[in-house]
Amino acid sequence: MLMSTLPHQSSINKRWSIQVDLGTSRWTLAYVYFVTRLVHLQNKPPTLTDLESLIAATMAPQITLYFLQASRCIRTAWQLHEQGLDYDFKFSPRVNGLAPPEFRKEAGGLGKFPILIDNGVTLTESGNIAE
Amino acid sequence: VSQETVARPFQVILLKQSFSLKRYLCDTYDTSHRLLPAVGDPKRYAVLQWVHAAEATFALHSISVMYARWHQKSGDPKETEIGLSKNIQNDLDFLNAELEKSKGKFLFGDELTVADIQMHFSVAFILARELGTLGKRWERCEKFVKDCEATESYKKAVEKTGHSF
Repeated sequence: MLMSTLPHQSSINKRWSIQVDLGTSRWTLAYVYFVTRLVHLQNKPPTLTDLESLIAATMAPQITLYFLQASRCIRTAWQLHEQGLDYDFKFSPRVNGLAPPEFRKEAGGLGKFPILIDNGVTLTESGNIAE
Repeated sequence: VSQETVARPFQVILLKQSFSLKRYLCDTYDTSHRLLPAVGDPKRYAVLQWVHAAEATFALHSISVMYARWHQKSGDPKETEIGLSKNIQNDLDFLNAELEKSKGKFLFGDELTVADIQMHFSVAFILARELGTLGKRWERCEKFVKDCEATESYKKAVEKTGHSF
């Protein structure tokens, strides 16, 4: 845990300090940034409604898993659940034992699954994704 | 992470995208190193041995049997499978023995690691399709597959995705 004051050192936000848990850095940083901007722009602390809107926006899954039936994709899905990570997924059954061409084209790359997209970063190979 | 980083969060996002894409879900989200031990911890490399073996050994050897079944147009595919089965049986003998040494349900005791997540699919696939098994049984491997599939997280993954062999 780290005690950190907000970035803009005006007299008003000097009074506001936030405990930053670095283990949850992504949303914490988003929260810090949001609060900072709000204090800076409105010269007042955020309301509960402001914070609820922020939480709703940041809780939406940013991870998308391309999932081909009867494949290694279950490894990645299992790990996502084991780590408690929410995700969207795009599913395709096999056609004549293979991934349909349109699904391969949509996913891109070599057209092998799983493919995981997180925050705009595309990852392939289940072992690579796992690590 | 310094206050400088906290002050400019967008820089953190840009930095992340320049990271090596290796070690992704664990390195990005498993900061307590529950599923994959930290760099420098000897257990990390014992776990990664299985992550790689799942593909480079177990899947490689078994998928060759599947391809022979699919694509061999002349000769006797069963003879080919008998030849290819030697590697698979050695692999399963080894895994069976390693699981016997474990003090718990999984490869490293009762705590799940990425080794189990990666190995489960390869072993379940070999046993379900009987790839090179030639009627032989590996009871400890079968129990490992069942124990993996009994975890809450696996059941949730199947429920959400509809995964089926």
